[in-house]
Amino acid sequence: MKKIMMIGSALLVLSSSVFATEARLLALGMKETDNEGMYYVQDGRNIFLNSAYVNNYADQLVTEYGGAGRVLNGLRTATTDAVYNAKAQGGVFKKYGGMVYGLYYGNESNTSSLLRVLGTADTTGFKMLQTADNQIDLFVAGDAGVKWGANLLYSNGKNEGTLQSKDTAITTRLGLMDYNWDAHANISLASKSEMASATGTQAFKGKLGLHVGGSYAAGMGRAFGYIKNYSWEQENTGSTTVKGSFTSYYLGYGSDMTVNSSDKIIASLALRKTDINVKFSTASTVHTFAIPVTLGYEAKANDWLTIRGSVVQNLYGKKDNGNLTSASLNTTAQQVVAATYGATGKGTIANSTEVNAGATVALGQITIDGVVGISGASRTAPNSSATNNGVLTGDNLLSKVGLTYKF
Amino acid sequence: MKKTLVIAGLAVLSTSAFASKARMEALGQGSYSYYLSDSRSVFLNPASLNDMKNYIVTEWGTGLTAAGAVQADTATTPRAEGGFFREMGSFAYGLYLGNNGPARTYTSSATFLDHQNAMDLMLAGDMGMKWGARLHYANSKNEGTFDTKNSALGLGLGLSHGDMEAYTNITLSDKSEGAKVAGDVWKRKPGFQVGGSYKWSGMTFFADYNSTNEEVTAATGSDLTNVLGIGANSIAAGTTVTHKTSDITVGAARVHEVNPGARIMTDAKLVLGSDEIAGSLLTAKNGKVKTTTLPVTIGMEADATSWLTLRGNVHQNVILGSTKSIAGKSSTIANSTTVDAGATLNFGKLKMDGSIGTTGASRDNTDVAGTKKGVLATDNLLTRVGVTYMF
Repeated sequence: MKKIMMIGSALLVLSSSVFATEARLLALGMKETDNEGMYYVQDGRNIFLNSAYVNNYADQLVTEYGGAGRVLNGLRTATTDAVYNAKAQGGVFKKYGGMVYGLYYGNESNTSSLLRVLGTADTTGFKMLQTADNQIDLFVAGDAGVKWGANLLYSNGKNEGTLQSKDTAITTRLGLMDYNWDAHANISLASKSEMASATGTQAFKGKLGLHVGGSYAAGMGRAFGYIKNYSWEQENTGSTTVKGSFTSYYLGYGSDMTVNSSDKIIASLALRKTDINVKFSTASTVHTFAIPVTLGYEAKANDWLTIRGSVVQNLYGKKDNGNLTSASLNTTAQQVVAATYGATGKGTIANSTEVNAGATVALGQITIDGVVGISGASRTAPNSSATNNGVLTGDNLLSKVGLTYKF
Repeated sequence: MKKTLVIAGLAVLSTSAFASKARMEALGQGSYSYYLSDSRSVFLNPASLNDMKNYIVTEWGTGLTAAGAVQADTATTPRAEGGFFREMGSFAYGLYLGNNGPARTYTSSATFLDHQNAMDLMLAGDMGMKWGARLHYANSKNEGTFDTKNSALGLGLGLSHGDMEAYTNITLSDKSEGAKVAGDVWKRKPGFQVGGSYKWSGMTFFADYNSTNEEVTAATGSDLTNVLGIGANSIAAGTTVTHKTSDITVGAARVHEVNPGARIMTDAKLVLGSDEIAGSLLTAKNGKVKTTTLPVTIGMEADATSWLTLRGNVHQNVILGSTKSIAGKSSTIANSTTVDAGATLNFGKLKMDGSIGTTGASRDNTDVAGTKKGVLATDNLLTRVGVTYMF
């Protein structure tokens, strides 16, 4: 019995340590704004949730295929890192002695972008504040009885053109991990974006931001929770300073139950509350509360193929969004917020059922992860690549592809 | 005798591994079958959960339609659904998410809320006689200028004993309030589906009765149109339209096991349908439309290789196939011949089902998805994909 458990555990660690991409966790039902990881599924992507995870994912190189890193397309249309519109990012992790070091490019935060989009005072959205670009994450981790990890995020950009803009972001992630618990504090130390044009200036100034949480092994799974809190001030020439805040609470219990040496099923139940306030003359607000349940599976189809999927639905979901079409909220912000949190109004969060699927192709030391089924049933204009029409296509076989090379 | 038992065992094993709408449609069965063993049967007879458990199923699609929009679940625009079924001692239980029911008919200028985030809870057991129960629940509300809301509760009960099965599915309540104005109401009165089947001499004989009774009320000042498909300006303000349907189905089917990896299935059923509308502003729409059909389906399912199962069917009304209008005029239901195809990719405990051939011959705007033009398209290899993982 002991032998079976030891082999099982070893294989579990082995199999999980080669997975390290957003695509895998998205297929298993991850619903985080920044795709930063899941508390109850072991994956290399969790280093962005708790930097102590770097200890478990040394000696590998990760590349996430995608387009240019900057989340603004032109000056008006904002896009975030999405399953059908991936951003390029990647990094390398290497163990030297008892320490693991990491360098990662381009993990630009969707939350940071969302806040800057919200913080743009120009109501037309033509002069969008610059978002974090060319981001670098440095990691260091070790094991002193308890595994620990630290990260420093730095991003800086400046444009001196007709529209003069600059952006700075500094964040640190601190994490601890023991065999049955983990904890993290991810702290935004500086976040500032400014823009000047012939018509005036506008600025976003982030205050100290916190993402604090952790998990504890209990029973067959893990109890987990976090609090995210960010606040900011935004200024516009000739206007009073506007304050904004973003707060999210997440509390739940999840489990990835091992079926055999390669397969597992996952299940979780959680409470999630999000509040966003932007205090213009007319306040724009987002208040959502949901109880999502996630059911998923991951199975080794053959030597070189792993298939996974999940279904997620709110058992209960309410929204109370106010003035998201307010004239004081720029048009891009209206679009982005509505797409993420729903339109103005109070009521049930509609149609929350979501089915995700993904696959990993294992080629020796290389694994290629991707999301499957993100295609329309045809290639015509109204049936775009972002449509989930239940299709397994040969010409869009994998989306949001990530490659991991373990050396 | 021993060989027969082995073949029978393999047949049960192979059929019970399948679990998707795509399989049912490829075999010409609609959403579930009266006689084929498939995990979709749990929505017809919850007692079938005793025979198929310990699996997760996900039906790919989207659930992100805007609130209030029609959530038609079709082969080309499937809805995201899925569930988890597991045994627990001598019982089995299941949780299925997103089974939002059939699309509700709407007004052209306003919408009632559909089922949102629906949940089906199932419990089954075997006490000499297999039994099962299913509870369907959906509740939603949007607070705006006026509130729109929907609540629905359904119950399914089933028994299975030897060669005999019986079931009933009851709509206990289903009500949507608020559409064009606050007082508009769409209400489904208790409706019943009752049926059963009996296996005898290699054949399965089945019978099913299904009835619905809906009421749509336009409040004073409202102008509900195109409700229930009965035309523009169909409900006068302050009046109620009732819509009743009933279907009686009686049929026989046979599954012929050619070998452990291949089977041919045939079925013939007499379907007597009735669709009655009363209270419409357009008097020509008030009355009963009767339909009589005798569809015959011939299907096959075969393991092409160890990793691929192919299936398909041809279906057509034979001898009977007509509609009698409100005015009493009969007309033949034209072009009833359909051919469907599908496949399952087998990866051990994991099965990926899908439909084949639902793609146009080109990728331009005039030849859209859902068009059957006899094409095997590699870039739309499988549509309406459902994945089942058995543990």
